[in-house]
Amino acid sequence: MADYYTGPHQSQYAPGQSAVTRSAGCTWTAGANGIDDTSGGKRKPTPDALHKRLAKGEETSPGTPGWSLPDLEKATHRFAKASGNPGLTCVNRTTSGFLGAYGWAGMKKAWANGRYVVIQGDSDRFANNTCSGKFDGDHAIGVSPKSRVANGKVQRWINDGICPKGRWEYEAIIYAYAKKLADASGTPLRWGAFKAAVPKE
Amino acid sequence: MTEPTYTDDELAAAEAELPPIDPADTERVAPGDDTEADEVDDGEDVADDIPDDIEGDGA
Repeated sequence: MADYYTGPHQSQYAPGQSAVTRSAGCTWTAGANGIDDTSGGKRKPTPDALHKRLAKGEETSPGTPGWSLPDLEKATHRFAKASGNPGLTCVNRTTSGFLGAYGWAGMKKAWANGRYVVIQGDSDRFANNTCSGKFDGDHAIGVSPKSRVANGKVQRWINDGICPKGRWEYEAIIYAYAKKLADASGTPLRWGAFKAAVPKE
Repeated sequence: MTEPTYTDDELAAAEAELPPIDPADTERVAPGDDTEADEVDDGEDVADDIPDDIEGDGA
């Protein structure tokens, strides 16, 4: 049975990536992986290439490291226009939801409809035996609609920029990761999803 | 690739925290019903017109 396309994982630590991507580029790295998957491999921007689409002064919080989800939306929208593919925009859905579903329900609906999702959260929820366990703090990961059942529980394929490869993670842990940051910051779950569905191979 | 390892209690606790989901939220909508208007206001692009890519062959 055909499954969702998953492109080669891009790490924020890949050779040639800038110092700012290496130190604070988790959100735009997740966006770069999402563009690859959503385009079915036709577009493969590096994290640095996506980062160039937004000037520092245009960020919602230029005094803090990294990007917000509105920043990612703006940069991916510019990339999408330049590419001639509007589906490559990662829309910030923190408050707008997806097809009338919000929060975790919105993410579930996005995955059910083939969307690649970018989620900001607290990475201390991830198992210490994984590459993700090397960093505890505010973070962003990309989560593919590709899933499987392991030990009787649903896992999703994730692109964590601090990891050398993509990997599987339990949905429940992904929720815990997103929830911890949302609760700490007093916001809804922080997430975005691409406008187009990831194609199947 | 290392599979994530959690204790049964850790996974059970995480599962217990998941919000209840309406089955309608796990359904795929009909093709075309998931299209969205372009409402992003992104101002003037600051990068070159042609996106940098690796290995890709374009849209």
